[in-house]
Amino acid sequence: MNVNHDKFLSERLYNHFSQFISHADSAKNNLDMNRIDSTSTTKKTKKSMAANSIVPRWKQFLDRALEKYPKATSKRPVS
Amino acid sequence: MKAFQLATIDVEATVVPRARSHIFRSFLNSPTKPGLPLLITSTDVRTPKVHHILANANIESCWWIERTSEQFRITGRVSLVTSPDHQLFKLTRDHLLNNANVDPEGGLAALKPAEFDWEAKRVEIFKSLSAHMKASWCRPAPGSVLEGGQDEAKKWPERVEEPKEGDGEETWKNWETALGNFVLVVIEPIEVDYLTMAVIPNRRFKTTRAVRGGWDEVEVVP
Repeated sequence: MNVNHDKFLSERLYNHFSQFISHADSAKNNLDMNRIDSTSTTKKTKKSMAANSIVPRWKQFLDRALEKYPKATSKRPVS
Repeated sequence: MKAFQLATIDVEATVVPRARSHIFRSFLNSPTKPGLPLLITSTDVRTPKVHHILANANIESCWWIERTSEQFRITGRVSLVTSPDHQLFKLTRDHLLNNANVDPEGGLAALKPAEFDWEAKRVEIFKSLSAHMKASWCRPAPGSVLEGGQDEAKKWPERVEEPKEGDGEETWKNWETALGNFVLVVIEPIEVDYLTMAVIPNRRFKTTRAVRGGWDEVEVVP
């Protein structure tokens, strides 16, 4: 009886872990798919700029915006 | 006045962000990596932010440019350049060199900071300020209690001019005091979050330093 009970528990545990492993594999596969999707999406939307060649766009935007600042005054904000 | 907000982390009592207005002075570029510009601003060596930065170099600056309806949030690491005569000089220099080591592909490291003449840069920027502005570094420590009230404040120098031969002791003393308290704040941008509200729909781009060097930019929901 004890043996059967142990066997029953073992089977349940085995099934439980099988399901867990199956879910984990599935989750991992989904994650990998998401990564592939993410990478392919990123490839479409991400732009890369080299450090030694061009001025990054954010600096171009900031340079342009700074030109629009009002003229300097002699007053100094708290800092 | 090219003002922006600079947030540091105050770790003295409890971890609290502290923000204040700063004036943008200039960009500083390495000739070898012009795509990694550093931002230069300045402060007084006696302000609490100096200690915030030495304890934690991570900052965020926020710029709102009213005329163009653009916002820039620039996250980065910050270094300080103090007077060589100041007691914090060795600490701030070691901190700056360490920041370059932490980010060996960055714009600060590209400047070869151990060889760069930081004192010449500090003096150059100080000299470019107005005499009225220079005088603000001659006041008692910023944030300290105003002993004597406004009557005392009226005694502070209103202008500090570069002294010439033959100028009096007071002129030399004010110049040395102001220059001694003047600190360059060098920001190495790591991430830039740019938002423009000048177009409909608004547009927003996140630019982050790429692992292999340079920048990666992606458009995000505004």
